[in-house]
Amino acid sequence: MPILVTDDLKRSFVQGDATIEVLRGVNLTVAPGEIVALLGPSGSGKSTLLQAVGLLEGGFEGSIRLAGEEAAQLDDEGRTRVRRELLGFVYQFHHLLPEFNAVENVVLPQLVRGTEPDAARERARQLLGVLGLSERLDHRPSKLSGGEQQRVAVARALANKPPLVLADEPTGNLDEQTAEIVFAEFLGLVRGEGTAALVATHNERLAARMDRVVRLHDGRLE
Amino acid sequence: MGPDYDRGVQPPVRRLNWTTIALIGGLFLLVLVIAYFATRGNADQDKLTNANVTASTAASHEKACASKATYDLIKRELFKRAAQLRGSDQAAFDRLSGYSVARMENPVMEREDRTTGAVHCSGSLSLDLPPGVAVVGGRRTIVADLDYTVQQAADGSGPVVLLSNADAIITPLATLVRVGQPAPEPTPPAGTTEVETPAIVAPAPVVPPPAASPVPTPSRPVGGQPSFNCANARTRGEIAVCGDAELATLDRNMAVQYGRAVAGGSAEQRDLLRETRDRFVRYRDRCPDRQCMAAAYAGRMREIRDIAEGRWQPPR
Repeated sequence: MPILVTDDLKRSFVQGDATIEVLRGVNLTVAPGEIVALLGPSGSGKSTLLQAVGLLEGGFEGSIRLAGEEAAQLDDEGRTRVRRELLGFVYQFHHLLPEFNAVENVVLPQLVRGTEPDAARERARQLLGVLGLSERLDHRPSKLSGGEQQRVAVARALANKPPLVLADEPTGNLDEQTAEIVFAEFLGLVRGEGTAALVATHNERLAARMDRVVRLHDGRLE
Repeated sequence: MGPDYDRGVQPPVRRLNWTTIALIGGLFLLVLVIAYFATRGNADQDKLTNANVTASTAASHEKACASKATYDLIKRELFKRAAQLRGSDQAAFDRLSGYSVARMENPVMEREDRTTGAVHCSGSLSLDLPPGVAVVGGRRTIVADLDYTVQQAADGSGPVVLLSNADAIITPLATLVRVGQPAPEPTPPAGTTEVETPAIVAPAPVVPPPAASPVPTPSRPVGGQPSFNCANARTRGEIAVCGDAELATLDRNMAVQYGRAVAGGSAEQRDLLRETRDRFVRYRDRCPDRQCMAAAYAGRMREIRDIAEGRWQPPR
């Protein structure tokens, strides 16, 4: 069973008297473990698609099925449960909690899901170690570089072993060299975990490293 | 006598009318002048009254941002959403909400929506948990910046709050666990008789109980250093970057990227980088909030990359 299926997904926004159709019927399927690049220029609707698929906002038409569960049938609590159990998120900005250190930021989503604290801490150390942050575990985000912050965000997204990670320009706020390194680590970790990923980017070179590339143009996939 | 009578009476009456008419005319003009200035005076007084009303309304909206009632609504909403995120223990979280204390530092009214009456506020929230429970790291105080909107419920049931960036509190709050000390007898909130200890079903304690130690003092985020010397910060944008660790990091990363692009670029690319830099600085310095500034930095970094890769297009 695919981890994600969207069927004729539409999303529009009203701006003054005008209605802007951002998604005009997106049909997308992601298989378990598959890493898909969502390629498109700025403003093409990549983020809107990820927001919809991530159940972060409503207002869409059509169908989104995550692990076979129809999102349109879910109430607020149901959407929160699906996000907690099925999805991991990596954003362009890390959105780490500034009051908590690197390990705690990765432990947090695991505790929310009910993982034993010792196991959560061990998992956090392991993930951060793979990403080269063994010496930075106790540092708060403000004491980490941009690349390190984004690595912690990657570890946090994968901490609960979600079947699907949604990443929106995950290295978009890093300089080119750091972005290359962090992106390679991100892909390596996602592959190693056997997690599926839908990664929005406008970088052809990064997109080419993924299993499949879909292009969003004029609100539709090509 | 008849003609004499006529002649003797008529002329005096005619002279009296002219004088009276002149007097009445003068008085009328005087009244008009007085009325004109009196009316002008009233208009000004009305303006003053309106200004007073506006000031009074603004003060009342400021109060909405900083009232205890608002903080209580925020607190309840935070616990409700934390339980929702956790997927369990809603009743226990509801009870714990009553025993916790929400404090707001620097509550500020950002703007008001005159059509809906919604008041948009921001501040730095400290949520103090009651003894006997803690979140990850053993913390009993969670501190984070918060944006919130206060408005009347559509059904007329009173004010409601909408929280817009509360994850920094909700996520750790969802990890709430009972720590290894007996929960003290809580003082029930006024109007209730419920005193039972909240029964949080949760993983084992995250850390040793902090019972013997005082409540941890909430620590503020330590600001990172931007690419420039904050001692020389003058513009609104520079000052904001110096006061925000994330913006400072973005600024530093952008500066590194900029330096590389300048070093490796052609003369034309270097000119473009400098021209667009000035525009970026002007834009950033006009930003009303940190979200706008962060977006400005993100856009600028994309712009630098596009210039360096030779695919930059001037903004339309």
